[in-house]
Amino acid sequence: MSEKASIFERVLFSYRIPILVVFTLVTVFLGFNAVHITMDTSLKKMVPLKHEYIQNLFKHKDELSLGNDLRIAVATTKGDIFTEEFLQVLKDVTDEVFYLQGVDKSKVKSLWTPNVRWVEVTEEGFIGGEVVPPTYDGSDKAIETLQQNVLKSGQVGRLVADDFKSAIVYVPLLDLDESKGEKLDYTRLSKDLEEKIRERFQNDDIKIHIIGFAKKIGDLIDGARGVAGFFLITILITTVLLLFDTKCWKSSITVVVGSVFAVVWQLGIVSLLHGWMANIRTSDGWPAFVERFPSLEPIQFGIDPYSMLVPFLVFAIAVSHGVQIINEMTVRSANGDDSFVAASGAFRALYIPGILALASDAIGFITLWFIDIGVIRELAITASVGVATIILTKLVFVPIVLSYIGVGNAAIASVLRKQEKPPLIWVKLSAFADPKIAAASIVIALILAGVGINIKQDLQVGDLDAGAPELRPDSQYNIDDRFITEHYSVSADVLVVMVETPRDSCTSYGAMSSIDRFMWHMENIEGVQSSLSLVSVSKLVITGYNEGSLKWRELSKIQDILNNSIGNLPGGLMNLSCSLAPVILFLDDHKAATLERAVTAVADFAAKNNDPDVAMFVLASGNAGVEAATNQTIAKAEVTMLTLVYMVVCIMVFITFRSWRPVVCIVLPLFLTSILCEALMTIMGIGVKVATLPVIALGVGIGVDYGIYIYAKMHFHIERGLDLKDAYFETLRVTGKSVVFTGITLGFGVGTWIFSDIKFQADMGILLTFMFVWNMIGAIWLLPAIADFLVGKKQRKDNAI
Amino acid sequence: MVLCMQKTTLLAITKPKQVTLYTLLLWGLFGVLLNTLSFGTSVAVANEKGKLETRFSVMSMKAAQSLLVDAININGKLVVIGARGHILVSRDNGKSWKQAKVPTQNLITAVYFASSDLGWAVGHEAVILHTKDGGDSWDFQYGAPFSPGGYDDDSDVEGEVSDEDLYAIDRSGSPLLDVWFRNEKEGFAIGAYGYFLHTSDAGKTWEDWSKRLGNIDGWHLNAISSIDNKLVYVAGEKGVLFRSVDGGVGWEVLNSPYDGSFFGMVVGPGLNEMIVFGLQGHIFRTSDSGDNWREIETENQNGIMAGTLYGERGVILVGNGGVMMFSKDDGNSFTKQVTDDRKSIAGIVKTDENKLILVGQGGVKLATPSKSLVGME
Repeated sequence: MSEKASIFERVLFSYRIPILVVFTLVTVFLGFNAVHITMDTSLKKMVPLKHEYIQNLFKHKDELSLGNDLRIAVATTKGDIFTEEFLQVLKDVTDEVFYLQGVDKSKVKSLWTPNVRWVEVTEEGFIGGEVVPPTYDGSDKAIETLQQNVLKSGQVGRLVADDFKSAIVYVPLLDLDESKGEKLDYTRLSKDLEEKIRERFQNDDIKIHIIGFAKKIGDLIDGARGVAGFFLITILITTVLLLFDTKCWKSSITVVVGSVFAVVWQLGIVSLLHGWMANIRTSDGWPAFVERFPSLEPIQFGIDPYSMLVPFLVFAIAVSHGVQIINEMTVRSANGDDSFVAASGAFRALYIPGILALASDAIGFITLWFIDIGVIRELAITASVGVATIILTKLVFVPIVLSYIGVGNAAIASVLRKQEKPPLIWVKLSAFADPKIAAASIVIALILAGVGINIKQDLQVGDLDAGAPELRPDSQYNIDDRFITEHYSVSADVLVVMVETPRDSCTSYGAMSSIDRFMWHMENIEGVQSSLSLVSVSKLVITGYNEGSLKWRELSKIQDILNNSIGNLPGGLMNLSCSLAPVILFLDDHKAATLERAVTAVADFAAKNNDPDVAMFVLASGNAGVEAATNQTIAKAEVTMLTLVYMVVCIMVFITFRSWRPVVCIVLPLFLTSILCEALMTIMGIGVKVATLPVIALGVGIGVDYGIYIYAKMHFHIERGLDLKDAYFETLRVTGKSVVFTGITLGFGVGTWIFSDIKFQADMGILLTFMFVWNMIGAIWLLPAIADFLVGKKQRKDNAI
Repeated sequence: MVLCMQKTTLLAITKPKQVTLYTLLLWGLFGVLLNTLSFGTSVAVANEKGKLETRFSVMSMKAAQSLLVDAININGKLVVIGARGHILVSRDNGKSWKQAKVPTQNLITAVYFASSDLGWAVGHEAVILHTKDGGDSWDFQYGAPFSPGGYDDDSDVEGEVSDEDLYAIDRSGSPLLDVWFRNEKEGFAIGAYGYFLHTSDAGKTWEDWSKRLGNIDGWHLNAISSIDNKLVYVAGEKGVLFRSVDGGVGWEVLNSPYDGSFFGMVVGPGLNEMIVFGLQGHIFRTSDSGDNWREIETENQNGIMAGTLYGERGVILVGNGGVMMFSKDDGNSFTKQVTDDRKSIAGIVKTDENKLILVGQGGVKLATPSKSLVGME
């Protein structure tokens, strides 16, 4: 064995005390920062800012009040809403809502607010009044009048359910200007809604259902908080696994502490970056900064439900690298080295493959940068930062500490025992390098790949579940959402097309008839339920002017009549300068196919009918518009990103071994995992989306570690003159064991996410667990099989000569 | 083509305040032409169908579920019409509908067939559409699209206005609201601001007969109906009622029992019996051809838009908010029912299978009336 101490090793092991001191100080400093990390979500981070739809959306954002509102449905389980008791509850809820923080009090609507009126055409003209008669006293007669008024008010389907068993309190929230530092406290609002509304009024007879963007965000933040608790569970499980594997509590604790330090460093650095970005953002230099680095505009470096994954990953990766060090050290200690020599020897054996493996992780993550969505870019940076911190904590902290404390005798004894009599499992597993079994393995792998490719043809882009896709289908929010969409004429999936006209011309006959034709064009598209715009209101009002006769439900070509008809337009259907009129399209769902069909139909119409002097139909706003843009961005980025990840991995492996053979041996199993992962997504109904696309990159980036470690060790033994099967057996005994352990650790590390309240975190958990475990299987089973073809055959030929 | 007088008199429409020199000049020219071309009691009117925009209605799976406002049963074949130039034909008693080829996307307001093949439909911009193949394809026969220069505020010169001028008001852009044909040649199309057009050549030419009717105030005319092609009624806005006893040649104004709008009539079952109905659910009945009226009290306050006879003595009326009024005694009393969806109903017709075709906000629906409600137990 010709092991020479490198310069790193000499420096590291000569100045152990100063290095430990500096390390501790940095950890304390970063730990202090990490405590201040804040949960941060903003719309800009979640959307592809450069996408045409989103650019259009932000261009008109200030002109369109896109309705940050809540709907609280008060439902009765017995009879209908026309009882004194129910109406009293509805009144109490309405009153209570006024006191919630952030509510636009003047625009709250319920049967009890004076802005909800009924109108009737009579011989004398229009007459009308408040829905609850001023003389209301709870008597049967008063309730009967109220019932008549409700029918005349046209609120059935809006404020009153189609089945008259529930009524809605509509709660618009104040339009806050985030750039001025005004911010709605979603957590508090959500908590108030639960405590002051739901808990207080819900009982056996009355059910409360609450939906709206603010409530959804509140629930998401709650869910994300829950995930933080999973971190402790992950640490606990990992420690137990580690103890079980190493039989040495000293080194196990060292590795866990080192891994926690890596997480602390990562969070601390992210928190510092957050502060730094926040400073730039509020400084005068911000516009210039954005101009120079446009892609940094949405980046905030807060922690959000997506980037919360990173600490889990960092911890799991750190532990898996720590295991390699412990194993290596134990073997050396068993051979009689003292702690110092064993630690420096382990460092020497592992720092090159270790750094390479981590570097390929980091570079793999960096490829995520090519997806133009803020949260994914943040993930790219924070995950790379995390991997860099692992290099420091694992390759510096753990070896130094272990050089003092060494590994326990139980661990050494266990290794010695196994050296004398290797566990049967490694003997059996080494058969994977046997030529016959290798051939069978490759056939099986090809069949799996074939089946996988066949299944993943149906892989969808985007969110596939109804309701709020971020939350689980059986979450309270989605139950509420289902209740309200079923009983009211509202759809949660809204595509908004912005119609731009010359100034003061949004009500011209030309623009309005164009919008009218557009609406009918869209209503005929599969998946579009109905549409709403100022044209709908105009026709309705003109019908009203003509005594409710449907024969007049048509746009008038007389401009004054048109102008009059939209005199009382509900908010949000045109802007102040009358140069913009949104058309709101209600969709069946937000499946990628539905969205794509709708936006394609809009684009078709726009191509044929856009006229800058009359009306331009511009995509897109509404949740469906944003999602369509996100889907398009992701679909486009998927291929680029996968190509890049694999290119990076191939190059890294090639640099490590200076040969194409290991590239094939290591990358093909990863490729199989990617295929099977997409097949799994198809079967489980998980779409390619903001949450799942990074997982594919992360899976490949981390999966390559196993291959590098195994191939490096196997290569080392082959160089020593062993034939492939023996070399593989020797590899399995030490490295293989760590790889199996690593796969399981990583799997458990992110596996806890499967229980997250947040649907996309659960999806991420499922997919990462699958990829980590299957990558491990690929490295142990398929890698030696391919190696047999590429290396073993050559070896046998050489030996024959 | 004959030019027509364009002039506003008594209409309460907001008018642009601009009078250009050009319009004034045209004015003079029109005046001269009017004097030379108008004679008798009928005024030939400008047929500006050439100016109509030809934009075929979109063939749509949803046409039968979109807004429809009138329906007719002609020898077992059903035709329904409505928004966006939708005309649909059913030859299987309303089970399936086939959309016709129509050269306009305007809201069509009424339809009438003089025989199985020959039909007319009217709508906004005063379009009159004609079919010769039983409703499958339609062509323009008449139209008066809105002309921006047509309105004129210079009508204060009361003294110079001749008798004809009072009726020759600018209705361009306004809708026709009902159509009726005596036979395959002679028919009437009526509508907003007193539109009262007559043809005697199956619609090749149309004349303005509004002066014959005597609707001096230009009230909207909403319905025209007859049971024997001799005794004809017209009902409209502000409770106006007109009667002709000679198939539409001569007209008299009836004393109206009501000053709100009438939207429709059901004539029969007896020759002299008739029910007229409208705003706020008001229903009036006559059994002497309109000389005397009796109000039928009901609990309904929704506007009633259309009706049909059903069985021997049954009458069914429909209206806004999904209201359906059933009578089993020739319309002397009614029972109210409301459809589940509460969508407004604008038209009703009986199929040959004794079912009902209802048209309105929700498109076309096939319904079966409860026999007890129409006295057929």
